[in-house]
Amino acid sequence: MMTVTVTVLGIGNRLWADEGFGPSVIDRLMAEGVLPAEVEALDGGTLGLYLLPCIQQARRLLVFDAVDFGHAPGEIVVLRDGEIPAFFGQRPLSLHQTGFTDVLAAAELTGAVPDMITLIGVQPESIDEWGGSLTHTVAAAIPHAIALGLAELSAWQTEGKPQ
Amino acid sequence: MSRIVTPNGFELDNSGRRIAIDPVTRIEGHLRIEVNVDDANVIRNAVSVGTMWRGLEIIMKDRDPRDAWAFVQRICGVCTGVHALASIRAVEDALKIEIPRNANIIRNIMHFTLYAHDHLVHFYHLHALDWVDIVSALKADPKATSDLAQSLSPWPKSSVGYFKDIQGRVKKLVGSGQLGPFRNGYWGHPAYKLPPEANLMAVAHYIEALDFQREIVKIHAVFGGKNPHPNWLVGGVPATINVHSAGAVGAINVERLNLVLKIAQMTQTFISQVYIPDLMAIASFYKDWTKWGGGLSGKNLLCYGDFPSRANDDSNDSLMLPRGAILNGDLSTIHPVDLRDPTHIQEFVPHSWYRYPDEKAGLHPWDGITELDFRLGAKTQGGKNGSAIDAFDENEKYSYVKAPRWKGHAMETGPLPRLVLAYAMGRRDIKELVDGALRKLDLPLPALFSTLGRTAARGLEAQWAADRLVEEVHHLIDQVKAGNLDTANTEKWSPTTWPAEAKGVGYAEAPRGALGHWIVIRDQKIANYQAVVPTTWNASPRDNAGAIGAYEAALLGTPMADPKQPLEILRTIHSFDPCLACATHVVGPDGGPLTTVQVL
Repeated sequence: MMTVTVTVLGIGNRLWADEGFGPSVIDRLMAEGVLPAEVEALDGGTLGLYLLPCIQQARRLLVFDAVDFGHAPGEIVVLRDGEIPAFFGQRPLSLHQTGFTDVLAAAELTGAVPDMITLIGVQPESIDEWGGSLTHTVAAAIPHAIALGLAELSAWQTEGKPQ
Repeated sequence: MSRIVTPNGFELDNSGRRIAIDPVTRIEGHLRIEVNVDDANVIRNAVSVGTMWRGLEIIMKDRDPRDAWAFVQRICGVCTGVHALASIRAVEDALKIEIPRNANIIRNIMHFTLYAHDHLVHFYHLHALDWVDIVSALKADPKATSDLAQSLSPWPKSSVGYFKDIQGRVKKLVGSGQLGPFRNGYWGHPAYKLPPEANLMAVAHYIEALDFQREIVKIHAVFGGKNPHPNWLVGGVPATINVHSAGAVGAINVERLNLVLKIAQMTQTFISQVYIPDLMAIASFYKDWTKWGGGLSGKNLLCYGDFPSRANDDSNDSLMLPRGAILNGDLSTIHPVDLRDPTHIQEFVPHSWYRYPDEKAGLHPWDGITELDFRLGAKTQGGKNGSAIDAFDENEKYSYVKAPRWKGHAMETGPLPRLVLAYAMGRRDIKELVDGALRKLDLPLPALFSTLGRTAARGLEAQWAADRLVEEVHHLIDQVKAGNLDTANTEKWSPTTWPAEAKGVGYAEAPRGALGHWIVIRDQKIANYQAVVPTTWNASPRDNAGAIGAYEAALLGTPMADPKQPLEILRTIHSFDPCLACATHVVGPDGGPLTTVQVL
């Protein structure tokens, strides 16, 4: 039986306050041990193009990231598939100034993209306080973000395998 | 000032219009370039501003020298490994630790792998789009593209259907309006010269290289456990060899060695059948670029050398890439370079945001000081009350990059200096490679001292490194067959065996140039740590005497088609493969997705 590769990816820079949302969610998921065994969790940090292989091999990709939607700080937004590129990844992730949508586009060019992508984004309060950890507002949003993420994973599971 | 001649012989004129580009994209880190152009849009003054501060020297203080490699390696996620290599060499030099032959071979294998990977990624993913017009590729005829590809190389992926498919994928991406990695291009700029078919072929190889580059780095994972940031070890390599596949888990066995050999051979094939033919094809359309971008390259070149063929021997008899300096373009005299001599390498800060007790003097890295001093010159434009800076004042402090000098001279470092030095020293392997390429392009040797020459040298060096990589893997297999399995010397692992004070220097030739780490160990801890990296040399600001650095020099005299679309500046700056994360000693807030180009 072919198993579906499901990857949970947290991206962002821990050194820039709420920019560290994605990696912090991964920390919490690992510490609480709530992910199904077959799901791979990955702290993508600011790896940029180095994330390409992880994206190419994922059939389902769940991404946690801080995204500026212009909403109230700490608010969570869930975006799926086609809705994603228009909204996020425009700021450079670092490695060679590659943004996350650049990595997605690169994966698409190589002909290997996940069948389904969901982004769970938080509205940051502060992203330019260097050396800081998450603001209280964004840290408080993590449990809600995780609950939404787990719901997405179980929805994928019940939907069954890709063709 | 309006018009001056610098001590290193360049005429500067800052009276014309000022153009600021911030940040320069498709590089690692943050670099701002300002130029003045005359009425004909020719660059007459150039200012290279490193806008990040690194601070790693301060983080290293009081740490265990055996751990230093793991910290300094994080200076950069691109030339991963090379800072670790320079660091363990510095510690071994200080503590007089000799490494076993296998450790030397494995380090060379790691380092050749990095060269092949880094040069390939630079060419296709950071630099090619300066020469290749993505949008023009949509107009290509797949049949003619296939014919072109087959006339250049035996590489099998060259069918009409293949290029049609690639064109379809690019069309979809461009049509979606989400250009992704192609977002910041100046598509349709008059300085693009390739026919549509050459553009499509190059785009196809851009995509192939994306997939291929991740194969190459598996070699790092085999010997260093992971990539990026593989593991290293003071005294050897952290990889045990176990050919009996019993005992140590994760040890290097015959299966692993065969995998490494296979990847090395694939790398060699990809470079010789894809990278080099593309490079030659692109170069043949851009011979104009042998006229511009030379800067310091035709004058002052610096190499620390690398790839010892004998363990613990860094003499030029042993180094596969030699050490030495060339001054004033005189290829007949090779000057010896001594990384320990306090008069050889010095860093100056009169134009850098650091403070020295005496700013007229330079400091050797063993005595180096990293103390911040951010001040703007009186003629800075903008920057008042927290507003953005429009133009920096190059007469005062203007960069977080220090100004390193060799015996007082501003120097260029990188693949071009390495090949030219080896060529001048009569190294046959390099000479054949360089002469072959020049013959093919029908260009004379001095054509190398240019933007195109720098880019070509990197490709030729990638080929050289892939060839040596395969040889070095065979050497390792021979060693293992002969029963030599030793990979580490742990005699001096315990700090109780160390002297109360020791100083060391670790050299390396990073893909983008000469890299030195200087360490002072006192009471078993790091008392001082200084890294002078390739981009510190190349992105150097002016020094105490007013001599300009390699980027600044290389931009002078270049005509621009349209200052609002500074493609010409990107070509020359990218030809150096800048790595500012490493050159600058946190970061201003990101400038947003698109580079700001300001014509003042």
